[in-house]
Amino acid sequence: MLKKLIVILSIHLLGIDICIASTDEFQLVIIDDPYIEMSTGPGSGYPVFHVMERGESVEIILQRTDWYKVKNDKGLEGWVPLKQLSKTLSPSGEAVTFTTQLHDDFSQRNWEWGVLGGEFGGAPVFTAYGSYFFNKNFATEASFSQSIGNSSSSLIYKIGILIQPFPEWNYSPFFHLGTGLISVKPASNLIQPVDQDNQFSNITIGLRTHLTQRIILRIEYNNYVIFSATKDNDDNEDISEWKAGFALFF
Amino acid sequence: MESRLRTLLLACFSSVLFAFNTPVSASEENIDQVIDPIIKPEIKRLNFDESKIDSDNIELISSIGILSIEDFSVNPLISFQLTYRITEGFFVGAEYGLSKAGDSSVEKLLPGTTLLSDNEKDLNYYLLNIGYDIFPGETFVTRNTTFNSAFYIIGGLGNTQFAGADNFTYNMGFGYRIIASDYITAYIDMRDQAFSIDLFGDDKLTHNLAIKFGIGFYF
Repeated sequence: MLKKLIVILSIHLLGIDICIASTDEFQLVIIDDPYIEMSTGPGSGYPVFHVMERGESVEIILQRTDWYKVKNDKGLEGWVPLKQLSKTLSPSGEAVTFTTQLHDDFSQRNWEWGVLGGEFGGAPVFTAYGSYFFNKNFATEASFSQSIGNSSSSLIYKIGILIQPFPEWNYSPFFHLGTGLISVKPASNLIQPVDQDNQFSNITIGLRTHLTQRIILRIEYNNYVIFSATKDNDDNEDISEWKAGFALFF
Repeated sequence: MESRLRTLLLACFSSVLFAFNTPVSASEENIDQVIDPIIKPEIKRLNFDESKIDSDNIELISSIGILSIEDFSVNPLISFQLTYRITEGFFVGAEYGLSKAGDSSVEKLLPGTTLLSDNEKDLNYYLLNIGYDIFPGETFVTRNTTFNSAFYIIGGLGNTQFAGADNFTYNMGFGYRIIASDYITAYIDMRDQAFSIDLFGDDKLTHNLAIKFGIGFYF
């Protein structure tokens, strides 16, 4: 446990180094709105404390969600929402447009990372997954799930190919064909608990939609065929699962 | 006399002319230096590149605190949480925590009894949460020191590994965050982590309260 903590702590410290090292030159823009308001924090609940006029130049220091931390030429720092920066000019006089995450970006994403929750054969299940899109229609996906039942819990490792026939639709359906390993661990209060590892194959149908910014909502139904047949037991196990969750795309 | 005066005037005039003329002729000699400007204007086009704006929406929070494990006294807790800010109000996070249960009342009353083995007393959990800043505001530490802060509510689902079994867990709570700088945040957080546990042959829903102090870093 101590080793585990040391590893986690060192990763954390590394993280601090990265954020200190990331200070570099800032982007300069010129305000073209009649005025913009500076807030004390990145949220509409924080008060406005300064107003800047058209023609003033500001440096953009940091972005957090839809808010930008800016610094004016007098060195005053504050937060401005994206919608107030919609009319700004670059130092060379061209209009600047800030990209908001649009549906186009959603259909052209490369990476998707998400978490899902649902029910696996009657027991609660959690999934973390990552997908890489080769093009608009095809992706490879790997996932890790844990299902927590009353008498046993299972770990499910899955890898497969995802097909998305209509990436431009608002509610885009997808299919997934996968295979993997399911490891069933019975609860220790059962008599003679024996761990069981089995391979499975899986088919998924699902729907995903772009909610806002980088967020995707995803709903899916899975069918697993677990190759648990042995000499004594001829039948493979058939388990159905439904899940819903959120993902971020990049 | 007149010619002498004229000569003198001419001499004066020519010396003045010479005096004015000298720098011109000198500069003509160094004509190369004149073409080479003394102040070189740096013609560096300042173009706007949005991708160069530092965007920090991910935060790693390390916390220490106490976890009251129902029937197993109050125990130290260490947790790590990775959060992503979706909007100015909402954030999602994944949390991993470690603790170890102490002796239960039964074990204290009847010395020698062991309800759970040492390994089974190890507790670890993961939780997937969603939170919302309900009261953003400012905290006035002294007359001249002010920090942005927020009071948030948080809740979610997960798994707790305890007593040799995986236990489906839900948690909800609230917390207070002081934003010390653009990158560093201080947290105090209170949660009720509830899960069913089967210790005596019957499922029992236990409520486990966690109080944590944490430091978060944006990157």
